[in-house]
Amino acid sequence: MSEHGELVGRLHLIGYETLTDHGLALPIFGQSRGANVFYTARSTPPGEANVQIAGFDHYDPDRLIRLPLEQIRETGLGEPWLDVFLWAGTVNVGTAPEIWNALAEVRERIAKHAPLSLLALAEGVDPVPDLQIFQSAFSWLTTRYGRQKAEEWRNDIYLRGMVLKSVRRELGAYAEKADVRRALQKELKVRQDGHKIVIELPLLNLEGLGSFVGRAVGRGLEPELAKVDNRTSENVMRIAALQVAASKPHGRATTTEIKNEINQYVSLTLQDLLPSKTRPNEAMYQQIVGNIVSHRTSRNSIFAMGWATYTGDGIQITKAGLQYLKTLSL
Amino acid sequence: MDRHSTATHSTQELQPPAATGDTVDPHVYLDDYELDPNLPAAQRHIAWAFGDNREYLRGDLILGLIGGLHAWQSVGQSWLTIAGLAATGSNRPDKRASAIEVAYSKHLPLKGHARLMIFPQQLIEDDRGKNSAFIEDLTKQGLLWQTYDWRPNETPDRFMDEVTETVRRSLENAGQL
Repeated sequence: MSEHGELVGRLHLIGYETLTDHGLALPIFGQSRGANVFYTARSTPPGEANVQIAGFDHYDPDRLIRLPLEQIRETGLGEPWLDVFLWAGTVNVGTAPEIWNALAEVRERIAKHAPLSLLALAEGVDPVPDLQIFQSAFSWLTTRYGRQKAEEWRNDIYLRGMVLKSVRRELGAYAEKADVRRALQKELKVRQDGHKIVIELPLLNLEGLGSFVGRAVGRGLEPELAKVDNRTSENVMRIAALQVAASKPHGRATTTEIKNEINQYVSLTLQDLLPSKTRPNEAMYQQIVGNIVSHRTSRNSIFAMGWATYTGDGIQITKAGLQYLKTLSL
Repeated sequence: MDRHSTATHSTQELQPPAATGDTVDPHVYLDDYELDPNLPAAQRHIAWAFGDNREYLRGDLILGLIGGLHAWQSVGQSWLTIAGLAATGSNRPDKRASAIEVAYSKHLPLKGHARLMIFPQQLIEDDRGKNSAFIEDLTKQGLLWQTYDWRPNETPDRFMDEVTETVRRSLENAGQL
């Protein structure tokens, strides 16, 4: 299905758009060789190796380069991802392993001039590519742009990218939510401490990142996982819930409204946004909001403190609650 | 915008916050919310609407700002509503909705005006020498550059995330956030 709801089952890989004169290009699809309606493909999961085509989206290329007839390939949903790889004026089309094999005689030359592109192609063949390719990319960057640039690439792009992919695999579709993506970007930190590469992220566990750790160790690095606990406290959430109520007519907010709007008053962390273990359809922070409203008898509740009353489907902030927010300059 | 780039569009006049949706029509002038064409005006606007640079980069408006406007201040109210599309928690977050756009009537040399260029890492490699010349040019002009990992089967949203994070880190390192 295309993004416009049109059923797009089978298409032909008819051309590509280039970023530069070598490496991976953007494959462009159409109904037939002479098509004038174009599509790009989506993969599932995005950005990974050995993936399938999950869908096609309409696309208006600026600089479409059409493939010669003999290179046009028919494909469809659920079939292996097709790449276009440019090298020395030749266009290579196929799955990553097909292209990898077709380039066997020139791979050494590519490694000398475009090792990052070769590494990207190699990852499509095997998620754990030859250590030598990674090392030659690092050495090439060091020679050409200096040690600092090479380390920036290794830590901020390559290793960080591996961790992100690993976490995305672990979180599945949840990782595609805008607020989760944003929190992930903000909270994932990869830094170097001597020979150690320290990775900071709240939800790190060795099981989920096993592939990453194995690969990094194989590259002579010593990854160290620093688990950060930055869940928003229930107390902060209580105050934010009162703020939501205060923003509503008569100071009344339903539980649903609080769940939907609390993120306007508190900066939710990745841990807050993760799915609840007991209620998988809810995020952790939504479950905490539910608890704030339903745990009415607990000693520290907003009701026991006199800051809100229960309305049956939410809360109503009291004068004492408004006064409390004022004392917090909120 | 094509699938390769995350470049911003150009505009024809100073038209600060514009919600552009998916496309930009160069013939539509959004001159109903124009700031004075100088840096202090942009700084005042950021201070009023966002509080500081960090919140501006995040697109998060000061909470409750709309309540401080009179009913007749409809332009400000409309702007706050549109700019809110960029805020954390928006269902369709679009950072362009609260971006201050600056347009010049003449071409500007990169030297002295651009601080950081971010592009796909393929552009620092070479098959035929063209990219080397490009990087040498940047270096000669003293421009900083960073790359991101472009893949044909990755989503444009991800590239935008990466570019935004690179910009954030760069501004933080420069002490501007």
